[in-house]
Amino acid sequence: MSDRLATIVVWIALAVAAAGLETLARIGRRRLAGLGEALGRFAFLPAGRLALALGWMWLGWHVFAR
Amino acid sequence: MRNELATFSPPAAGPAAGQVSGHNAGVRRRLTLVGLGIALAVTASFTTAFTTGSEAVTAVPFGLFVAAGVVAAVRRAAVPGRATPPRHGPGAAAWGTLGVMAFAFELTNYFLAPRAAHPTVSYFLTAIAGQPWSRGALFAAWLALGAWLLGR
Repeated sequence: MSDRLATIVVWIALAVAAAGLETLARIGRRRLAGLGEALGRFAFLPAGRLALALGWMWLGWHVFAR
Repeated sequence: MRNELATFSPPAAGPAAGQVSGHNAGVRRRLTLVGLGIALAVTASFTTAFTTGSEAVTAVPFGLFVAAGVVAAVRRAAVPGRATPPRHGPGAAAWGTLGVMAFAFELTNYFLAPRAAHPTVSYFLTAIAGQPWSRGALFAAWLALGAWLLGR
């Protein structure tokens, strides 16, 4: 297996894990927080809100402008 | 007395007129923002990275985001006794673990070469943003994420 394929497989595994967690949060009986709720908890703190805002701005600039 | 009764009219059932106009103004403002977002996403789909156009179309949401964030922060500070912090359940721990794993893997790939053999998230996003239609869709998703963040 090439390095590229191995890396892509790991990324897909992480994405599947995230999708699985979100699905469990939405349909599971155990009260798991979804991604939105988990980020909302993080954003409750001013530092968390600032970090998310800076991350959002960096992402936009990085992908669309530079 | 008779004249007073004749001119008296009972209050109409349902929400007051002020509430209705406030609701309509809110809907109008939301529709305006959605329209502006769509216009920006369409404009972004016609730009390419490393150009003045792409920088300008990305800078517009930056300005709006910062202005709205400052207004929200001032409003938040004006309300005393904010709600208690939410409890951190098993979901938060799971998402935190997954986030740390993804971040560590991203960093590992970032420092490994060549980039094509060790693609990062940016590598995939840049590839997606290379086509006009997917660039516009990605830009719209980015704007929606920013709007969601402002609502937190």
